[in-house]
Amino acid sequence: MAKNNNSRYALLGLALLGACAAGILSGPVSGAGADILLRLRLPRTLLAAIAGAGLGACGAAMQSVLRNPLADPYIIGTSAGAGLGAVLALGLGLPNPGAGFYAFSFAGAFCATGFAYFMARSGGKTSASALVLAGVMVSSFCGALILFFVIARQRESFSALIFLMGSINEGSPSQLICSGVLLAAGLALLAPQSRRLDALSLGEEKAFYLGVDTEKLKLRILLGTSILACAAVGAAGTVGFIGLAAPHLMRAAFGPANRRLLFVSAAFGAAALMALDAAARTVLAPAEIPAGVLSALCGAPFFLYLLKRRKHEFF
Amino acid sequence: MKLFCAILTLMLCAAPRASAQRLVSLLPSNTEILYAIGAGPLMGVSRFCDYPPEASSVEKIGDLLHPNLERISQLRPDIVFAGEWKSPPTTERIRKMGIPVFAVPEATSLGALLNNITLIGEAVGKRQQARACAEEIKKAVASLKLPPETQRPLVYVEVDSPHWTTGGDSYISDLVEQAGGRNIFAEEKKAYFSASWESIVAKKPDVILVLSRNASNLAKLPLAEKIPAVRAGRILRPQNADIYLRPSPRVKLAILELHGLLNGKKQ
Repeated sequence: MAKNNNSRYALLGLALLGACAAGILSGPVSGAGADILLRLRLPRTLLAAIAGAGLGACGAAMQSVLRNPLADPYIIGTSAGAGLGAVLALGLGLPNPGAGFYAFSFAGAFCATGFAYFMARSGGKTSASALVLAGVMVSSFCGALILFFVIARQRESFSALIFLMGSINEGSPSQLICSGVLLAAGLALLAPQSRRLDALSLGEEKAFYLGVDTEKLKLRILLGTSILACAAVGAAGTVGFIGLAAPHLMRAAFGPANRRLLFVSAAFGAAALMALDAAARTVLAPAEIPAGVLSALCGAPFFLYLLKRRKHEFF
Repeated sequence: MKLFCAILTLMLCAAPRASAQRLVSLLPSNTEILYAIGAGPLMGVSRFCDYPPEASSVEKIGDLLHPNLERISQLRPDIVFAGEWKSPPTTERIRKMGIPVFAVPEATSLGALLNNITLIGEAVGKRQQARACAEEIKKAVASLKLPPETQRPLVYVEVDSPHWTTGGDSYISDLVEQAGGRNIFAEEKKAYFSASWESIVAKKPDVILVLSRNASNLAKLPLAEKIPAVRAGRILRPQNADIYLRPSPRVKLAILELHGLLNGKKQ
């Protein structure tokens, strides 16, 4: 098993390197030459990596704590909540990146996820379908509020739309730093919870008898995932399905142990979003497609595939 | 019967008719053309119509995508001016209510705009005025002295953020060419698209024309200092972007202003 895992780690590392190279090298470099590679594509690719890693890790932690293979920051409303917070912050004149912007999008993510979870829970249980339905409702409610604010202001409607579809731009060093720090903070908060999450996979009752304070654990995971979603939204807007697909594929490749899963999902998410952004920038060049459009094109069929293949297999 | 109605509608639209018709306009560009050629009275205009100033006091009846059909019908217009701009449902719905509607073709160039002015003039029986209006624009544009093709400045037009710009098949691109500039994306065979920042940097525009009120500060983006327009401080923000964005008789002002700006005149 160990040897097998080594080759899988090597493959994942190769995918990361390959996606990073694609992000930096794809497309013409005429004009400003090396400067384009170093000062435009490198930061942009890093931003994609941060957002992808945040989404991948966020999805892994969510799926484990909710014991629900359909959990994903996009599907259960976290991203929409973060997006709503971000649009409110921009509406109040708080710049992106900035403390206010991230605080708002964190609060949005936290409230939206908490609310979806609260609504889906009944009789001490949270069913997969109820959570997805609650998430869809929270997402569309947040989406409607976002559109309402955008239309009421009648300004920046086009940028807001692109932001909602999820897209990555060249960014600024401070955006890289803010999102990078948040990513690190989220991972640092979630990693120590891995053992407890492993226990939780046996069921809430068994975890409780193993000494896990499940409610406290859920709150910590909710905090950590909201921080990760906020890092991702600050870097790339609301990109969907990476948080869903990354943990799934990684669980199949590396097994369900949470500590490993968190980090390999982050790595896979980073590779996926870097590759998608390279495609978003080059497929219709010089025009750009929002990366979120491409992730939905690949991710939505994957979601349907999961839905068709029975859910219990994974947990 | 249907055929008869269709023919009648066509005739109503096409035949020159006595002036003093009750008109409704669903697009600001049409409103400006109608006022310029002295047609009317306008009974209803879109919520975006704010020029000429008289238009602001005319009743607002929604817009092309969301017209208030009830109110339009109550106004008993002789003709409703709509646009072919992605609005077949609107045109069709108004036509079904038995109201003659003229879907003005999308102006994709200066020539198409002049043609539209003539068409609208014919529809409201103001053929002479329309022709004079078109002629005046044509003359003003023809009088401009343009440098030889190779010496014309390369222009990047930011219509909206993020980097929503214009390809060769668009009105604004033609406007830039008429004023003596070259659109950096002229060879793109599309009207509007969102360009990547690196492609803008690589095209090295000499002038940046910002037509959006809320565009981000392009000069602060990474690698902006590589762009000749930024180095020379030639980021132009015309005071009134509407004269560029609306295919209307005010295009004359836009082209003259842009020609001046491209030749180094201060804003």
